[in-house]
Amino acid sequence: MKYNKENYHEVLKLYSKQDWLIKKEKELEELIVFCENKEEKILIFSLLERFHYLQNERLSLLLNKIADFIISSSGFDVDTTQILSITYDDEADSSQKVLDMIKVPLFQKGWKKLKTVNHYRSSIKNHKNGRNQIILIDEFIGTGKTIRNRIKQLRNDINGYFELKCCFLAGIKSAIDNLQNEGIEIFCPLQLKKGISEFYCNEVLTKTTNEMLSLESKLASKINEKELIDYSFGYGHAEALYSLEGCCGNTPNSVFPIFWWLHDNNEQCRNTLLTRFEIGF
Amino acid sequence: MKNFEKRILHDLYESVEGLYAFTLYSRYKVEPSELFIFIEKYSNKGLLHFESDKLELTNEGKKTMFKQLRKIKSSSGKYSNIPNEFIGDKIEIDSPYIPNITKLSKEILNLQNKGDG
Repeated sequence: MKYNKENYHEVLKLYSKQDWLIKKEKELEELIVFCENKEEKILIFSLLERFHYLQNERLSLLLNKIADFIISSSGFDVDTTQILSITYDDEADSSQKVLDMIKVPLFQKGWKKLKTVNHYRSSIKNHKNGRNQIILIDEFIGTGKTIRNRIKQLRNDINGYFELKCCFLAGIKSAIDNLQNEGIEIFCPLQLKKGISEFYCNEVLTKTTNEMLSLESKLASKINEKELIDYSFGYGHAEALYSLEGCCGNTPNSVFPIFWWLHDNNEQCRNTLLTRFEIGF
Repeated sequence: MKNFEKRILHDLYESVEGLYAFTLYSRYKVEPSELFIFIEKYSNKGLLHFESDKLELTNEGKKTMFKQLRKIKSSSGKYSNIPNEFIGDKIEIDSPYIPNITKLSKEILNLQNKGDG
């Protein structure tokens, strides 16, 4: 790519805030070229500057915060607690990943007899065995739709009393607030504002919204059975600016698809900044 | 040290008020990632200052470069720093030349002696 003065300066500035992008220079260049005008480029640079790309050190910090909450603030006891991933089908998912990652800090901090449950259905059996304090765990909360469904199922399937709390590594603050207002107790150490609608306001918001719509119009409207419209601005319009580094994570569908949607509107493959494993792609 | 690093450090040493990042891209086609790593490397060593898109050597950087350049000059061989007053007229390549045996160095005479043997 041939840089002009402005782009070169912006990219250099971006690297000083987001050093993970250095290893993705070609992908970043492709994204800059994908932008047709200066305004679209400014929007992309702004979103990337505010992006939360969790590398190992920060991930470890957040896991330790969750572990501290579970042990010291949840009021739950190790002998009666089960920590449950929200996995419902037989596909591997990020809640199982976080469940596996949280067991080490919990063990280190003294919960040696910890009970982890890597499939939703097994929670019923564990409840019968006296584990009636349930912590639902997942990586990211975008809209709250999945967790609402899981809690509803749990209340339906478990006969008897149980206490419930939810833990997430990160999530959209407005979604968390809504759930808390519904009486669901949530601990989430990294709470994010929506990338566009909670950052810009008035006429700038209208302008940037149109710019993102214009960028999305250059993406393929459908990949196999997946419709872009369902993921416009991130699933449920979550507008998330978050991902775990490399192999640690699968970019949530709550993230703006401009960063992970695989094809452009000419059905050409894109070399995307982020990777999302999506069934049906 | 990479070649482009040497060239940039030299250019910065020669510059009066530092150089813009884009100037270095225009001169040497240094990718932003390479320049960023360069800036990090030499800023951490206290040799470089980067602000408002401009790179400038710190006083420490200028001293280090001065020492480096002097070292390069003095280590370029004994015939590289001949004062002007000792330099005679140059003759054209392949023009006829008869050396004055009294002015030839001992090294060359030794070589010829070896050849004779």
